[in-house]
Amino acid sequence: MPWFGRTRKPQGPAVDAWRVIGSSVRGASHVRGGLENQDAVGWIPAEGIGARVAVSVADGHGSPKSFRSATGARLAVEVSQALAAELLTAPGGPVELSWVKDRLEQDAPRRIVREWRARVEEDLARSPFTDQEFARVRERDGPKGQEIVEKDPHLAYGSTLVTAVAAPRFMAFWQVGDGDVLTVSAAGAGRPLAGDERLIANETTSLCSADAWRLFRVAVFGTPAPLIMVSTDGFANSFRDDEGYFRFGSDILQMLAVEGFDAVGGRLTGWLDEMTQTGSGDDISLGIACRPGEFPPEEYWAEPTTQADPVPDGGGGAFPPGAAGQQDSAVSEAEMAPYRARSDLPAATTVPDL
Amino acid sequence: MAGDKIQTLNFAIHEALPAMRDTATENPNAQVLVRAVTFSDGARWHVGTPTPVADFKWASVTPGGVTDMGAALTLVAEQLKVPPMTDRALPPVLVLISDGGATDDFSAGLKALMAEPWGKKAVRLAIAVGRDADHDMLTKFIGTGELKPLEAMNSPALVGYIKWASTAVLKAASSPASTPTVTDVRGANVPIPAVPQGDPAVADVW
Repeated sequence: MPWFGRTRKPQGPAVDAWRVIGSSVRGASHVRGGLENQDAVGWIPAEGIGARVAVSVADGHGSPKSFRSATGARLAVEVSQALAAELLTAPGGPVELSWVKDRLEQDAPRRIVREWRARVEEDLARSPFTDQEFARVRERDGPKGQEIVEKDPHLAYGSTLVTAVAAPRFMAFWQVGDGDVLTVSAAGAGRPLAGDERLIANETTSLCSADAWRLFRVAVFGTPAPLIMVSTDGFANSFRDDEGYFRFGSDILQMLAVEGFDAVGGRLTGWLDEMTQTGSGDDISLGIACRPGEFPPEEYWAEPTTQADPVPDGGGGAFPPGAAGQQDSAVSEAEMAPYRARSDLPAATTVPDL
Repeated sequence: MAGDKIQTLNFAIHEALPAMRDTATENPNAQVLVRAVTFSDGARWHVGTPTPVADFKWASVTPGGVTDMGAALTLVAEQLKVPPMTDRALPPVLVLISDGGATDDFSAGLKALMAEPWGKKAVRLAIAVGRDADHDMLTKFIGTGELKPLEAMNSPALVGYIKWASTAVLKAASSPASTPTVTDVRGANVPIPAVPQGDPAVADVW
């Protein structure tokens, strides 16, 4: 059985390797309404282990006019993963932070949007809109709804996109629309991307928006966090507040460090199912990338974690039982210094107006 | 608001509450909180605490005073700021019920409301009670779009509209589908259910 954690003997991947897991579940409200799961999740390498990894999630819009958004979300993940693969294999040697930053700020958003639109058009050429699809649009949004989709067919495939890439010496993110990126260290959790005030209520920026590439948020950091989570909005919306969402990240880090990767991976889908039922009701997709070699040593977690399942909003117990053990840790502050939150990380940037 | 209209309003809200609770129960993924502002000589919270619909009780309001609608909108605007609102909430439903025209600075109140992101994205409905209601003001409150103020010219119509707002509209706003941002649309992108039609056999009395 593979293992990772600093105090155990590795028998599988190298200790500096990244591991990736993910899952996507159909929302409780989608089940009630007879709708499909319109989210998508994907990662590279497919086996989920590597020195350089990328993980993406996408959330197809639930609006009646976006009736092919499940396909749009899948295409978004595929396109983004292809670009991530390029970024992780720079020509002529090791990937440099500056090179990644240039690529992200110069052309990545535009390429993603261009290629997503091309893939949408290919899909539409293979499978033109049907009368049945348009009948459902007219039923919900009237004749004007059909006119809007005919004028801009990309709307039918509308989706958000969130991607994280992680390498030995950097991590990078790009996002359009709602959803979340969370980076977690022993010091706590936080959002590495700036907020977007356009995301409010049920409205979101989208790959199908006009000039969508301008709506991307991107960021590159020179020091990877030991744990990175990307998720569609149904995940964070299942928590009462950000505090609970951040705590989940810290708890996952502890579980990964103490119980191991497979213990978390095997329970992920069950957690998400429970979260959509008791939380947002929305589809939920979650991708987790972690580098066990950078986890705090096992003795850092003074109290053993439990097998409790996540209950986001205080509906019956903590998951797992908080970080109280950190206060009693026998590990010195100096030993923990490398794991504390870095204050010198650059601020997240939006795509420049080129 | 005049006495008979107020009595009907009190009755209508009492009547609507059970259906409103049922609607909220149907969607366990949304928590429905209710509060109310009254306005006459000034504006005040009639129910100030956001109250789960299951616990919500309506204390009858009484007629009197003028129509300080602008003050009411300002009061609501204060509570739509982030915080106390969270940016992850579902769109609020605001129902403005009036039988007259504003006697204070309506424009200032509306401006304060629309300055808040949740004011802009709220589902805004207006019920004009009787022929003296100021349709222009109520239309401005709703904003651009196809929805117009609902005209309640008799008791059954007012009861029907309040029930509709507290059930059908509530249901739509409690599980809105995600949709691309459209910056030239003022309201929340929540599909408004079909408006109930009044009974033509019932005479207009207001």
